[in-house]
Amino acid sequence: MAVIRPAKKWDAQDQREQRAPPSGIESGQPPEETWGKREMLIRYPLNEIVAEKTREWLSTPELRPWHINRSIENAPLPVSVLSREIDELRQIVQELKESNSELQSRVSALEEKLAKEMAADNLWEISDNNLLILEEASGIVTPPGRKQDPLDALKGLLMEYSDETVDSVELVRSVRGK
Amino acid sequence: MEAKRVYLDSSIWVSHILQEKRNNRAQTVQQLFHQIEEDEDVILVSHLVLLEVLEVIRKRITESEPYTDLDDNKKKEIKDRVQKKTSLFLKALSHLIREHRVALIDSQKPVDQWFGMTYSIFISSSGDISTHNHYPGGRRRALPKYRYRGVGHYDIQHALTAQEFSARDLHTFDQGFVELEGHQEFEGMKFLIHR
Repeated sequence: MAVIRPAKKWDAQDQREQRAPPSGIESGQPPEETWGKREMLIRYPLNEIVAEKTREWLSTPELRPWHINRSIENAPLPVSVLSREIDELRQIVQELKESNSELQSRVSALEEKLAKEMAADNLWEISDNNLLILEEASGIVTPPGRKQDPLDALKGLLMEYSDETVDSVELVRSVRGK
Repeated sequence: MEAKRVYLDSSIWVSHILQEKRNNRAQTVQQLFHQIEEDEDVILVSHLVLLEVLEVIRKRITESEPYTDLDDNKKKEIKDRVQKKTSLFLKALSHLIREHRVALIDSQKPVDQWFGMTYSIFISSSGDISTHNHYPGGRRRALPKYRYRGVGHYDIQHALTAQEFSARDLHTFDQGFVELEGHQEFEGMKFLIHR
Protein backbone atom coordinates (compact mmCIF):
# COMPACT_ATOMS: atom_id res chain seq x y z
CA MET A 1 0.00 0.00 0.00
CA ALA A 2 1.40 3.49 -0.93
CA VAL A 3 1.60 5.95 1.90
CA ILE A 4 1.27 9.56 0.83
CA ARG A 5 3.32 11.78 2.99
CA PRO A 6 2.12 15.31 3.71
CA ALA A 7 4.92 16.77 1.60
CA LYS A 8 3.60 15.07 -1.50
CA LYS A 9 0.22 16.76 -1.06
CA TRP A 10 1.82 20.12 -0.80
CA ASP A 11 3.87 19.37 -3.95
CA ALA A 12 0.74 18.63 -5.92
CA GLN A 13 -0.87 21.82 -4.68
CA ASP A 14 2.22 23.80 -5.69
CA GLN A 15 2.19 22.34 -9.19
CA ARG A 16 -1.46 23.23 -9.68
CA GLU A 17 -0.90 26.79 -8.55
CA GLN A 18 2.39 27.03 -10.48
CA ARG A 19 4.45 27.66 -7.43
CA ALA A 20 8.10 26.86 -7.52
CA PRO A 21 9.26 24.00 -5.38
CA PRO A 22 10.94 25.13 -2.22
CA SER A 23 14.65 24.82 -2.08
CA GLY A 24 15.90 21.57 -0.69
CA ILE A 25 13.15 19.35 -2.16
CA GLU A 26 15.16 18.42 -5.20
CA SER A 27 18.56 18.61 -3.53
CA GLY A 28 18.30 15.19 -1.97
CA GLN A 29 17.59 16.34 1.57
CA PRO A 30 15.61 13.96 3.77
CA PRO A 31 11.78 14.48 3.67
CA GLU A 32 11.47 15.20 7.41
CA GLU A 33 13.75 18.17 7.06
CA THR A 34 11.91 19.46 3.96
CA TRP A 35 8.48 19.21 5.66
CA GLY A 36 9.59 21.32 8.57
CA LYS A 37 10.97 24.04 6.31
CA ARG A 38 7.89 24.05 4.03
CA GLU A 39 5.53 24.57 6.97
CA MET A 40 7.32 27.71 7.78
CA LEU A 41 7.79 28.93 4.21
CA ILE A 42 4.20 28.54 2.87
CA ARG A 43 1.48 30.67 4.30
CA TYR A 44 -1.51 28.64 3.43
CA PRO A 45 -4.93 30.36 3.58
CA LEU A 46 -6.60 27.30 5.08
CA ASN A 47 -9.61 29.11 6.52
CA GLU A 48 -10.41 30.70 3.18
CA ILE A 49 -10.26 27.37 1.35
CA VAL A 50 -12.44 25.64 3.90
CA ALA A 51 -15.00 28.44 3.68
CA GLU A 52 -14.99 28.30 -0.12
CA LYS A 53 -15.38 24.52 -0.22
CA THR A 54 -18.25 24.68 2.28
CA ARG A 55 -20.01 27.32 0.14
CA GLU A 56 -19.56 25.13 -2.95
CA TRP A 57 -20.90 22.08 -1.19
CA LEU A 58 -23.92 23.93 0.18
CA SER A 59 -24.78 25.29 -3.25
CA THR A 60 -24.67 21.86 -4.91
CA PRO A 61 -28.26 20.88 -5.91
CA GLU A 62 -29.63 18.06 -3.74
CA LEU A 63 -30.94 14.86 -5.33
CA ARG A 64 -34.35 13.64 -4.24
CA PRO A 65 -35.60 11.43 -2.69
CA TRP A 66 -32.46 11.10 -0.59
CA HIS A 67 -32.93 14.38 1.14
CA ILE A 68 -30.02 15.50 3.31
CA ASN A 69 -30.39 18.54 5.46
CA ARG A 70 -27.11 20.33 5.06
CA SER A 71 -27.90 23.46 7.00
CA ILE A 72 -25.66 24.15 9.91
CA GLU A 73 -28.59 24.61 12.24
CA ASN A 74 -29.85 21.14 11.21
CA ALA A 75 -33.42 22.37 11.62
CA PRO A 76 -35.99 19.51 11.35
CA LEU A 77 -38.44 19.58 8.42
CA PRO A 78 -42.05 20.22 9.31
CA VAL A 79 -44.09 17.02 9.83
CA SER A 80 -46.54 18.10 7.15
CA VAL A 81 -43.75 18.20 4.53
CA LEU A 82 -42.55 14.73 5.47
CA SER A 83 -46.08 13.33 5.44
CA ARG A 84 -46.75 14.83 2.05
CA GLU A 85 -43.55 13.37 0.66
CA ILE A 86 -44.37 9.93 2.10
CA ASP A 87 -47.87 10.11 0.59
CA GLU A 88 -46.46 11.04 -2.79
CA LEU A 89 -44.00 8.16 -2.70
CA ARG A 90 -46.71 5.73 -1.60
CA GLN A 91 -48.85 6.86 -4.51
CA ILE A 92 -45.96 6.24 -6.92
CA VAL A 93 -45.36 2.76 -5.44
CA GLN A 94 -49.05 1.91 -5.77
CA GLU A 95 -49.13 3.02 -9.41
CA LEU A 96 -46.04 0.96 -10.17
CA LYS A 97 -47.61 -2.09 -8.51
CA GLU A 98 -50.77 -1.73 -10.56
CA SER A 99 -49.00 -1.31 -13.86
CA ASN A 100 -46.68 -4.22 -13.00
CA SER A 101 -49.58 -6.52 -12.25
CA GLU A 102 -51.36 -5.45 -15.44
CA LEU A 103 -48.26 -6.20 -17.49
CA GLN A 104 -47.80 -9.55 -15.76
CA SER A 105 -51.33 -10.65 -16.66
CA ARG A 106 -50.83 -9.56 -20.26
CA VAL A 107 -47.60 -11.56 -20.46
CA SER A 108 -49.30 -14.65 -18.95
CA ALA A 109 -52.24 -14.41 -21.35
CA LEU A 110 -49.91 -14.12 -24.35
CA GLU A 111 -47.73 -17.01 -23.13
CA GLU A 112 -50.81 -19.19 -22.76
CA LYS A 113 -52.07 -18.25 -26.21
CA LEU A 114 -48.68 -19.01 -27.73
CA ALA A 115 -48.49 -22.43 -26.02
CA LYS A 116 -51.99 -23.28 -27.24
CA GLU A 117 -51.24 -22.21 -30.80
CA MET A 118 -48.01 -24.21 -30.83
CA ALA A 119 -49.69 -27.30 -29.39
CA ALA A 120 -52.51 -27.00 -31.93
CA ASP A 121 -50.19 -26.45 -34.87
CA ASN A 122 -47.83 -29.29 -34.01
CA LEU A 123 -50.53 -31.86 -33.24
CA TRP A 124 -49.23 -34.63 -35.49
CA GLU A 125 -45.60 -33.95 -34.75
CA ILE A 126 -46.32 -34.26 -31.01
CA SER A 127 -48.51 -37.32 -31.55
CA ASP A 128 -45.99 -39.15 -33.78
CA ASN A 129 -43.26 -38.44 -31.27
CA ASN A 130 -45.43 -39.73 -28.42
CA LEU A 131 -46.14 -42.89 -30.41
CA LEU A 132 -42.41 -43.55 -30.74
CA ILE A 133 -42.00 -43.09 -26.98
CA LEU A 134 -44.95 -45.40 -26.32
CA GLU A 135 -43.63 -48.12 -28.63
CA GLU A 136 -40.20 -47.87 -27.09
CA ALA A 137 -41.52 -48.02 -23.53
CA SER A 138 -43.99 -50.84 -24.14
CA GLY A 139 -41.92 -52.84 -26.62
CA ILE A 140 -44.95 -53.01 -28.92
CA VAL A 141 -44.34 -52.53 -32.62
CA THR A 142 -47.17 -51.82 -35.01
CA PRO A 143 -46.38 -53.08 -38.51
CA PRO A 144 -48.06 -51.21 -41.36
CA GLY A 145 -51.30 -52.73 -42.58
CA ARG A 146 -54.00 -54.42 -40.49
CA LYS A 147 -56.59 -57.17 -40.63
CA GLN A 148 -59.30 -55.37 -38.69
CA ASP A 149 -60.39 -51.81 -37.98
CA PRO A 150 -58.62 -50.86 -34.72
CA LEU A 151 -61.79 -49.38 -33.21
CA ASP A 152 -63.54 -52.71 -33.84
CA ALA A 153 -60.57 -54.53 -32.33
CA LEU A 154 -61.04 -52.51 -29.15
CA LYS A 155 -64.78 -53.13 -29.03
CA GLY A 156 -65.47 -55.67 -26.30
CA LEU A 157 -61.77 -56.30 -25.70
CA LEU A 158 -62.61 -57.09 -22.04
CA MET A 159 -66.01 -58.55 -22.76
CA GLU A 160 -65.30 -61.66 -20.66
CA TYR A 161 -64.66 -59.40 -17.66
CA SER A 162 -67.88 -57.45 -18.05
CA ASP A 163 -71.32 -58.00 -16.55
CA GLU A 164 -74.64 -56.21 -16.00
CA THR A 165 -73.34 -54.20 -13.06
CA VAL A 166 -70.20 -52.82 -14.63
CA ASP A 167 -69.96 -49.03 -14.37
CA SER A 168 -67.24 -47.36 -16.43
CA VAL A 169 -67.42 -44.18 -14.34
CA GLU A 170 -66.83 -46.04 -11.07
CA LEU A 171 -64.01 -48.08 -12.60
CA VAL A 172 -62.27 -44.92 -13.77
CA ARG A 173 -62.90 -43.22 -10.44
CA SER A 174 -61.30 -46.16 -8.66
CA VAL A 175 -58.03 -45.53 -10.51
CA ARG A 176 -58.33 -41.76 -10.02
CA GLY A 177 -58.32 -42.35 -6.28
CA LYS A 178 -61.85 -41.00 -5.80
CA MET B 1 -61.68 -27.05 -43.46
CA GLU B 2 -59.62 -28.23 -40.49
CA ALA B 3 -60.82 -31.43 -38.80
CA LYS B 4 -62.68 -31.02 -35.53
CA ARG B 5 -60.90 -32.38 -32.48
CA VAL B 6 -62.73 -34.35 -29.83
CA TYR B 7 -61.31 -35.46 -26.50
CA LEU B 8 -62.64 -38.76 -25.18
CA ASP B 9 -62.40 -39.25 -21.44
CA SER B 10 -61.25 -42.61 -20.05
CA SER B 11 -64.83 -43.63 -19.20
CA ILE B 12 -65.68 -43.65 -22.94
CA TRP B 13 -62.82 -46.07 -23.74
CA VAL B 14 -63.57 -48.27 -20.72
CA SER B 15 -67.21 -48.45 -21.73
CA HIS B 16 -66.18 -49.45 -25.27
CA ILE B 17 -63.81 -52.24 -24.27
CA LEU B 18 -66.24 -53.63 -21.67
CA GLN B 19 -69.31 -53.11 -23.88
CA GLU B 20 -71.03 -51.57 -20.89
CA LYS B 21 -74.75 -52.26 -20.66
CA ARG B 22 -75.64 -49.55 -18.11
CA ASN B 23 -77.78 -46.84 -19.77
CA ASN B 24 -76.87 -48.37 -23.15
CA ARG B 25 -73.52 -46.68 -22.87
CA ALA B 26 -71.77 -49.06 -25.27
CA GLN B 27 -74.26 -48.05 -27.96
CA THR B 28 -73.74 -44.39 -27.17
CA VAL B 29 -70.01 -44.85 -27.70
CA GLN B 30 -70.58 -46.76 -30.94
CA GLN B 31 -72.74 -43.95 -32.28
CA LEU B 32 -70.14 -41.43 -31.20
CA PHE B 33 -67.41 -43.30 -33.10
CA HIS B 34 -69.63 -43.47 -36.20
CA GLN B 35 -70.22 -39.75 -36.05
CA ILE B 36 -66.53 -39.04 -35.61
CA GLU B 37 -65.69 -41.23 -38.62
CA GLU B 38 -68.36 -39.64 -40.73
CA ASP B 39 -67.25 -36.11 -39.91
CA GLU B 40 -63.58 -37.11 -40.21
CA ASP B 41 -62.89 -35.67 -36.81
CA VAL B 42 -59.70 -36.37 -34.89
CA ILE B 43 -59.86 -38.17 -31.55
CA LEU B 44 -57.53 -36.83 -28.88
CA VAL B 45 -56.11 -39.33 -26.40
CA SER B 46 -53.86 -38.04 -23.64
CA HIS B 47 -51.20 -40.02 -21.81
CA LEU B 48 -53.41 -39.58 -18.74
CA VAL B 49 -56.32 -41.35 -20.48
CA LEU B 50 -54.04 -44.09 -21.75
CA LEU B 51 -52.62 -44.82 -18.30
CA GLU B 52 -56.04 -44.75 -16.66
CA VAL B 53 -57.45 -47.24 -19.16
CA LEU B 54 -54.44 -49.55 -18.75
CA GLU B 55 -54.88 -49.41 -14.99
CA VAL B 56 -58.59 -50.25 -15.26
CA ILE B 57 -57.66 -53.25 -17.45
CA ARG B 58 -55.24 -54.50 -14.78
CA LYS B 59 -57.67 -54.06 -11.92
CA ARG B 60 -60.70 -55.39 -13.74
CA ILE B 61 -58.98 -58.59 -14.90
CA THR B 62 -57.45 -59.24 -11.47
CA GLU B 63 -60.60 -58.52 -9.49
CA SER B 64 -62.88 -60.51 -11.83
CA GLU B 65 -60.83 -63.68 -11.41
CA PRO B 66 -62.79 -66.26 -9.33
CA TYR B 67 -60.90 -67.02 -6.15
CA THR B 68 -59.46 -70.51 -5.75
CA ASP B 69 -56.11 -70.12 -4.11
CA LEU B 70 -53.18 -67.76 -4.44
CA ASP B 71 -49.70 -68.92 -5.29
CA ASP B 72 -47.00 -67.93 -7.76
CA ASN B 73 -48.65 -69.86 -10.59
CA LYS B 74 -51.94 -68.10 -10.04
CA LYS B 75 -50.23 -64.71 -9.96
CA LYS B 76 -48.39 -65.48 -13.19
CA GLU B 77 -51.60 -66.68 -14.84
CA ILE B 78 -53.38 -63.41 -14.00
CA LYS B 79 -50.40 -61.27 -14.98
CA ASP B 80 -50.18 -63.03 -18.35
CA ARG B 81 -53.83 -62.30 -19.03
CA VAL B 82 -53.31 -58.66 -18.14
CA GLN B 83 -50.26 -58.52 -20.40
CA LYS B 84 -52.12 -60.04 -23.32
CA LYS B 85 -55.04 -57.62 -23.10
CA THR B 86 -52.72 -54.67 -22.55
CA SER B 87 -50.78 -55.55 -25.70
CA LEU B 88 -53.95 -55.88 -27.74
CA PHE B 89 -55.16 -52.53 -26.49
CA LEU B 90 -51.86 -50.80 -27.23
CA LYS B 91 -51.56 -52.36 -30.69
CA ALA B 92 -55.03 -51.20 -31.72
CA LEU B 93 -54.39 -47.74 -30.31
CA SER B 94 -51.00 -47.52 -32.05
CA HIS B 95 -52.67 -48.31 -35.39
CA LEU B 96 -55.18 -45.53 -34.80
CA ILE B 97 -52.37 -43.10 -33.98
CA ARG B 98 -50.32 -44.16 -37.00
CA GLU B 99 -53.36 -43.68 -39.24
CA HIS B 100 -53.83 -40.19 -37.75
CA ARG B 101 -57.35 -40.99 -36.61
CA VAL B 102 -56.20 -40.62 -33.05
CA ALA B 103 -53.64 -38.11 -31.75
CA LEU B 104 -51.67 -39.09 -28.66
CA ILE B 105 -51.10 -35.88 -26.75
CA ASP B 106 -49.61 -34.51 -23.58
CA SER B 107 -49.43 -30.98 -22.24
CA GLN B 108 -46.57 -28.90 -23.62
CA LYS B 109 -46.73 -26.49 -20.70
CA PRO B 110 -44.04 -26.35 -18.02
CA VAL B 111 -44.96 -28.44 -14.98
CA ASP B 112 -45.15 -25.46 -12.60
CA GLN B 113 -47.54 -23.63 -14.90
CA TRP B 114 -49.57 -26.80 -15.38
CA PHE B 115 -50.04 -27.35 -11.65
CA GLY B 116 -50.64 -23.65 -11.09
CA MET B 117 -53.59 -23.76 -13.49
CA THR B 118 -54.90 -27.01 -12.01
CA TYR B 119 -54.69 -25.56 -8.52
CA SER B 120 -56.44 -22.30 -9.35
CA ILE B 121 -59.38 -24.17 -10.94
CA PHE B 122 -59.51 -26.68 -8.08
CA ILE B 123 -59.75 -24.08 -5.32
CA SER B 124 -62.42 -22.13 -7.16
CA SER B 125 -64.69 -25.20 -7.18
CA SER B 126 -66.36 -26.33 -3.95
CA GLY B 127 -68.25 -29.48 -5.03
CA ASP B 128 -71.36 -30.83 -3.28
CA ILE B 129 -72.16 -32.81 -0.13
CA SER B 130 -74.93 -35.40 -0.17
CA THR B 131 -76.03 -38.42 1.87
CA HIS B 132 -75.01 -41.90 0.93
CA ASN B 133 -77.29 -44.74 2.07
CA HIS B 134 -75.71 -47.84 0.59
CA TYR B 135 -72.54 -49.87 0.92
CA PRO B 136 -70.57 -50.38 -2.33
CA GLY B 137 -72.21 -53.81 -2.76
CA GLY B 138 -75.68 -52.26 -2.71
CA ARG B 139 -76.66 -53.24 0.88
CA ARG B 140 -78.45 -50.49 2.82
CA ARG B 141 -76.52 -48.74 5.58
CA ALA B 142 -77.94 -48.54 9.11
CA LEU B 143 -76.90 -44.91 9.26
CA PRO B 144 -76.41 -42.84 6.11
CA LYS B 145 -73.04 -41.24 5.49
CA TYR B 146 -72.15 -37.87 4.06
CA ARG B 147 -70.54 -38.00 0.69
CA TYR B 148 -68.46 -35.35 -1.04
CA ARG B 149 -68.77 -35.16 -4.80
CA GLY B 150 -66.91 -32.60 -6.81
CA VAL B 151 -64.43 -32.06 -9.52
CA GLY B 152 -61.15 -33.91 -8.99
CA HIS B 153 -57.72 -32.74 -10.00
CA TYR B 154 -57.58 -35.46 -12.66
CA ASP B 155 -60.79 -34.15 -14.23
CA ILE B 156 -59.27 -30.68 -14.37
CA GLN B 157 -56.11 -32.01 -16.01
CA HIS B 158 -58.11 -33.89 -18.66
CA ALA B 159 -60.03 -30.73 -19.46
CA LEU B 160 -56.88 -28.60 -19.51
CA THR B 161 -55.18 -31.00 -21.95
CA ALA B 162 -58.23 -31.01 -24.20
CA GLN B 163 -58.36 -27.22 -24.12
CA GLU B 164 -54.64 -26.88 -24.85
CA PHE B 165 -55.06 -28.93 -28.03
CA SER B 166 -58.11 -26.95 -29.12
CA ALA B 167 -60.64 -29.76 -28.61
CA ARG B 168 -64.09 -28.55 -29.48
CA ASP B 169 -65.84 -31.27 -27.45
CA LEU B 170 -64.98 -33.35 -24.40
CA HIS B 171 -67.05 -36.54 -24.15
CA THR B 172 -67.48 -38.38 -20.85
CA PHE B 173 -69.90 -40.38 -18.73
CA ASP B 174 -68.55 -38.83 -15.55
CA GLN B 175 -70.96 -36.27 -14.09
CA GLY B 176 -68.07 -34.76 -12.12
CA PHE B 177 -67.19 -32.74 -15.21
CA VAL B 178 -70.43 -30.76 -14.85
CA GLU B 179 -68.63 -28.35 -12.54
CA LEU B 180 -66.13 -27.43 -15.22
CA GLU B 181 -68.82 -26.40 -17.68
CA GLY B 182 -68.94 -22.65 -17.95
CA HIS B 183 -65.60 -22.17 -16.27
CA GLN B 184 -63.86 -19.29 -18.05
CA GLU B 185 -60.71 -21.36 -18.54
CA PHE B 186 -62.64 -23.72 -20.82
CA GLU B 187 -64.42 -21.14 -22.88
CA GLY B 188 -65.18 -22.42 -26.36
CA MET B 189 -65.04 -26.11 -25.40
CA LYS B 190 -68.23 -28.14 -24.99
CA PHE B 191 -68.52 -30.73 -22.21
CA LEU B 192 -70.73 -33.51 -23.52
CA ILE B 193 -71.62 -35.51 -20.43
CA HIS B 194 -73.55 -38.60 -21.45
CA ARG B 195 -75.73 -40.57 -19.01
